[in-house]
Amino acid sequence: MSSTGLAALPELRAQRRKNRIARLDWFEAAYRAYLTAFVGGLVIIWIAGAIGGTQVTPSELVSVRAHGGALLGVLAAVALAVGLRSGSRGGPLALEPAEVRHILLAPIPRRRVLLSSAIKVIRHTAFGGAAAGAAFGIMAARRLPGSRWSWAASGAAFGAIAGLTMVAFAFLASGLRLRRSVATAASGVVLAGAIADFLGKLTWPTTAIGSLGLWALRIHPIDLLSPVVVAAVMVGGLSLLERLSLENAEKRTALVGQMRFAVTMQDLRTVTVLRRQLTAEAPRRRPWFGRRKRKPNRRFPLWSRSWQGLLRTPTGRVVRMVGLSAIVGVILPGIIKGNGALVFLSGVGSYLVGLDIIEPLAQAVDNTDRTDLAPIERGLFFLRHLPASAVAAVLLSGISAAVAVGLAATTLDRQMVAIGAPLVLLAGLAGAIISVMMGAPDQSSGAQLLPPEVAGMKIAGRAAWPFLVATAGGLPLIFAQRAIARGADALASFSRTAMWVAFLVAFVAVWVRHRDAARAWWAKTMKDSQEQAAARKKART
Amino acid sequence: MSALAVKGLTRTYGDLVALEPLTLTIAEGEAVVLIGHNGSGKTTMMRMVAGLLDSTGGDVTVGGAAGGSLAARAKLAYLSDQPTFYDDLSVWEHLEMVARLHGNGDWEQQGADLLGALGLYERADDLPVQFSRGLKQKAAIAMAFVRPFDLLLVDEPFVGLDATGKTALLALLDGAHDRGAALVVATHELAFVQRVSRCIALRDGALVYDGTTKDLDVLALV
Repeated sequence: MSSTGLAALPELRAQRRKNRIARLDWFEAAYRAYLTAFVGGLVIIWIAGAIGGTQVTPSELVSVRAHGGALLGVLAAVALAVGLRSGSRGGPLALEPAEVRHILLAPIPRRRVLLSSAIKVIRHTAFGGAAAGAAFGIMAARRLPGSRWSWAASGAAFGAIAGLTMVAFAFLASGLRLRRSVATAASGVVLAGAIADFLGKLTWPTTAIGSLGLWALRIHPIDLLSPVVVAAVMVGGLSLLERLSLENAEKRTALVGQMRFAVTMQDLRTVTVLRRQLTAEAPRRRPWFGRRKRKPNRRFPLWSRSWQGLLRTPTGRVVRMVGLSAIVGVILPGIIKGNGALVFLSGVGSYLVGLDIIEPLAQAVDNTDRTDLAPIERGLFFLRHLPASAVAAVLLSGISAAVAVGLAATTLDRQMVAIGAPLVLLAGLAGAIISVMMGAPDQSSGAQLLPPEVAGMKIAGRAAWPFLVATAGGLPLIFAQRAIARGADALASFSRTAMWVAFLVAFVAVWVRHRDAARAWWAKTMKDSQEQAAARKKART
Repeated sequence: MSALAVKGLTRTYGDLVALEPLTLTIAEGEAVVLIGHNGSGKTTMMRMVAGLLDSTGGDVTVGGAAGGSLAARAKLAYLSDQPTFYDDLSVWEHLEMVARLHGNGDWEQQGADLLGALGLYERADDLPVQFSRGLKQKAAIAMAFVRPFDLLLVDEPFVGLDATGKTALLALLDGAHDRGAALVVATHELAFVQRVSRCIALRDGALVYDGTTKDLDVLALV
């Protein structure tokens, strides 16, 4: 008779490992490793270029010593917050659905079953964090005093501890079955404290983790307390593994698997939808207001449908949209002050807001059968979903404008940020529209025949395009700042660029309307030219 | 001792009540059918009893052991309406895993008999993830019966099954009942109601009937 219960588990797992290895496509695995190394190398080269190689000035060095630890502490706080939120949703483990159903329901101690998976997560996170931290450390060594190896070591220590902080607090939150709202509130407190420390308002524990990253510059023995605390939290979290919620685990297993697949397919829309499911971000059962109309809107049914959807936006998403709009408002005066790189940040913010308010169009794109059955041309059908989202973008831009006006230094700056804010949000919406309309990349055989480097560039260009459109919203402020710098008329420069941005946003709407026709025309043109070429070739022979 | 005791078991999603506080007891060896329209709370109740869904309130006791505990998991088998399998294990390997994890070391003959009864013996070495809906259901049935249990929860077991599968499942349910196991079968197959002596009906998350199936007007309850 074979062993049973917990004693049988290692044997059964070994059987699965054997099966997996037997079915592994080694060529595919090697190809994936090659692609990972290729992309990783590109990212490192890009970051190295962004950091530069010139030594920092003495005043900059003083600033790094004074604020560097707190800045890295904010990153550690972000890791901690992510861990808390993930733990409240059953993270950080992402088990297989069958593992939950067949092993966790078996009469064997769950802690013993989960411990091996937990250790695997801890090991991967620590290694990944250390590798990333070491890479950043080596790059930092090009600009900061200290040997390359000491920077690599301190970077690795910071990366590993920050990663382990995330995992430790995730295990703790999961074991304590922390409610999502409590985890979110605690995350907010942690982040606020870390930012306050960076601004010099108070001293916050996460700075001790960040400070480890600067040990190549100076040594604070007190920082060593942070790994001890993280280790204690980890032990606490692991001791609570038995309390894992199977409901959260099962939900998470299915969604995380799909999300990973969607990420590999560069399918942003699917990732967005799955992330919402993972965070239980379901639409409201009742709209915020206007529950039921007595008379249906016969003239503009899609305008009504769009608002019906938007008015069911859940509280969490509303808070995120308002928060991101406010952040965009904080960024805009910085662009006018001369920090042009901030335009990318405002682009990210407005793009994320856009992805949330474009939901009615995204639903129409997702439900293609329903869309194609409507007695209206597809382009027009999609186009009519846009006005409500545009109105929502303009409404949200009021928050950005209010914040930006409050922070702007001069009357001219205030005028420009007030006008610029709606443009920024509308450009973000335009970027989101492109992203939603493009959908996932074509995985047809033709696309797969491209060499990985070419395919990679094509994919990167495809992913960057919506973001670049979103970023364009901040260009009028950059041009205005340049006009100020050279003593020209800033408002005139701003207005000219703003018109081009407005034109770009309008062009996106036109693209939505005529995209199908344009694609059909292009396909026909290509086919015709191929046929003509074939006919010419035949005539020659 | 009861096979299953549920006291004030409830589940809410925000302001939506999926299952109102439910209290009931199922005796050892009792066979019960659970009916109700879609969304009435049958699956919610079963998943909470199995430990796959967190309850908002209330207690579950399986054979005297707290729901979700090791002892409860040893006594309870759950056949879900959505079968789940490992990508890399064959039907036979699945049976081995489930049987051995539940303390059944002598499972081979039983496994072969189950697959034979369900018409799945020839597919024992195939991967169930690649099966059709009906074959997956048959594999899941074999996995539920290859392990020992005192209480079997079955959710919509007849969905996707062909006539052979239905007949085999009914025979397996009868056999388990004859061996003294308690059964709770949630189904829309109203013909099944007359095979058991007790019926529990849920409507919109509330218990609307708990009594004998004799002379029962089932259609009035669903």
